[in-house]
Amino acid sequence: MLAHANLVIFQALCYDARALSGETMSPSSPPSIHDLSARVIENRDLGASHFLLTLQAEPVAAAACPGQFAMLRFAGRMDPLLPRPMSISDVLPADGSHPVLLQILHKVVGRGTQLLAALKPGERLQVLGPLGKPFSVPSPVAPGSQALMVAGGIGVAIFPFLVPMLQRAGLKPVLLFGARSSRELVRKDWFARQGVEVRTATEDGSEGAKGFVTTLLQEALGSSPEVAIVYACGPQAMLKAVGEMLIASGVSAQLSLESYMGCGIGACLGCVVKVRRDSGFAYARICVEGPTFPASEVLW
Amino acid sequence: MKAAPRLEVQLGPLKLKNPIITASGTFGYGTEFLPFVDLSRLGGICVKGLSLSPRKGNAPPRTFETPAGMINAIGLANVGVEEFVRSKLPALRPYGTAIIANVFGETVEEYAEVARIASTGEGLAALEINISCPNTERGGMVFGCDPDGTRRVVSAVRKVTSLPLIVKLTPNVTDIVSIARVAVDAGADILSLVNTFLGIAVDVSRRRLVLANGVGGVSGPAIKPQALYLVHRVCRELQVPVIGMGGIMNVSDALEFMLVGARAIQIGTANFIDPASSVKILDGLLQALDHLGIEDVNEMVGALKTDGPSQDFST
Ligand SMILES: Cc1cc2nc3c(=O)[nH]c(=O)nc-3n(C[C@H](O)[C@H](O)[C@H](O)COP(=O)(O)OP(=O)(O)OC[C@H]3O[C@@H](n4cnc5c(N)ncnc54)[C@H](O)[C@@H]3O)c2cc1C
Ligand SMILES: Cc1cc2nc3c(=O)[nH]c(=O)nc-3n(C[C@H](O)[C@H](O)[C@H](O)COP(=O)(O)O)c2cc1C
Ligand code: FES
Repeated sequence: MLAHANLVIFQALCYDARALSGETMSPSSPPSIHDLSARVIENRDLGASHFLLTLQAEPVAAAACPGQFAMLRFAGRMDPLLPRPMSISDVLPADGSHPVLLQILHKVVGRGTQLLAALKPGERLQVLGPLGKPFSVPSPVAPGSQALMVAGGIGVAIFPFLVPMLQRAGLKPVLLFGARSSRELVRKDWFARQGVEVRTATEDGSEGAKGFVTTLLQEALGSSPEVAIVYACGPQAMLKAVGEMLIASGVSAQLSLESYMGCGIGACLGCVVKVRRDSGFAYARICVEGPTFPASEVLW
Repeated sequence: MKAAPRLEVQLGPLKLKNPIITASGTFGYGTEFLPFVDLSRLGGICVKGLSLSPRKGNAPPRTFETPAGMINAIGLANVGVEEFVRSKLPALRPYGTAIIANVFGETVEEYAEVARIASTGEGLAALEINISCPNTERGGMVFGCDPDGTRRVVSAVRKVTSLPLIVKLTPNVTDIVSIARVAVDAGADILSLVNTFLGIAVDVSRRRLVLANGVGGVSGPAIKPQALYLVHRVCRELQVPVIGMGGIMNVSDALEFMLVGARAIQIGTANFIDPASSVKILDGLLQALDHLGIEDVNEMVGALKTDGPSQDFST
């Protein structure tokens, strides 16, 4: 397909040894998925109902790649019943006092996320992961070319883990971050500290451009230097708009989609999105065929 | 050392190494669970409902969480019975677990044809017919909600297969016992119940039904008391072996179904919460029997005590 002609699908440079040994994860090799009881190391209140949860979940963290997610649940609890899907926001390398740690950035929107927000250090949470298809990065890239990360609100959660991978691939990461108001531009400074150029838009105009993140994207696509690839995560309406803009511009793009999920492992067929397949369409499971999809594949 | 409790159960012509079966539609085609479950330990695996041709299923949203449960309208998406026999069944055969093909159709002829093709699959242990399907020839009347529809489907399938025949009942009927009786008279060896309860979810802010299909099926802990009641009723009224299900999340739930008469049980929604639920419940069962000093799981089947007050189940 034209839109990703320049995309060599090689797997994410994951944290673990697979990547270091140059081995790639092929669909035929069974994925290493773990289900474990993780200890809460920290649950930092970032304001505006956003929390950064740091978990000791070594096997999950060690096997994770940027773009993947985990299913979180409270063991034995029957209401709320289903596990909650959350992007693997970052994996912190081991240091003297800690093994690799897993970070989840989440926003309180209902009962499950309320329970997550109430977690205290030392408490436990069941983590199933890593799940889903990671982001891939183009290779080789023209020197100085950019990778745009388009985030709508809490969609920003997926990007911290991607940043080092883009940098290693020789891309210059730029974050286009849209939210309702300034307070919801969470972790913006963290990105800046990693050397990511951050451009913001808010609906109420309290910070950055007034309006939607798509305005920032329009500008970025219209200006030099070359944009090698665009990654996007956020509300469906935003992803749809972003996808359409990128298909029109011919820049390859990967969207990270969301859906209500039952199992997270491809068994319930509950999480589907309509995608282009052969001459017609198919329903692809977001939890295994996604959550990352080429923009050109998704039929909204 | 004391011997481990015996777990083997006999359901008419079907022998299972233990009473734990994974429920149709909640365990994929089995292999999805390889990272979590040693499939060879299970008593049986009931695969996703199979139809004559592959089906894409319903538009999303297809699932939604409800209090202590979930509602789904997957739309019976599946690879089709031929593909199942060709590629999915061989992948399951090496595990030495009873593989049960769950089948459905939109006409009586289709049910029979799917059942016939499934029966050609080498190593299949049994057929489970899902009669909770609308009859397209009769204005969408659900086969299993109508004694005549049930009779016609079950006898048509009985004619084309010599495999043990499980008929899976829908709870969405006024009198489940009369449907159960018809199914047995028409040739069912075993009954399994319950399928999901019809339900809807409403999105207040959008003033719409949540599921694209509107109506869906409710499953999970929320339906356990209702399911237990129906299993208890059928077991009291009929002599046929019964597989019980509906909201089983742990070993206590499983034992409750066995006490009211189920000889085996199916684990459904629990597989979504913890993918290792089935084997954890199996481990729990061994421990519980051991703890209770029971040597054979069959001692629990129908062992509910009914003396004393408030045991009148007539409603
Ligand atoms: C692959 C994936 C990655 C995600 N990553 C993140 C993340 O990093 N940070 C974050 O804050 N949120 C993320 N979400 C959204 C998050 O899963 C929901 O906000 C959360 O499940 C809401 O649960 P609740 O109990 O608080 O809300 P409720 O509305 O009470 O939940 C009711 C049901 O709806 C489901 N649900 C509600 N909203 C969503 C949604 N937007 N997407 C999927 N299911 C939903 C819940 O899982 C639950 O089953 C992600 C979703 C998916 C599918
Ligand atoms: C997502 C989902 C899909 C299902 N698909 C089927 C199916 O294809 N055929 C069938 O007979 N039952 C199907 N069922 C019903 C289950 O097998 C089971 O009867 C029901 O969920 C009740 O058990 P539970 O509460 O343990 O889940 C499905 C249930 C769920 C939740
Ligand atoms: S959530 Fe069950 S198949 Fe994706």
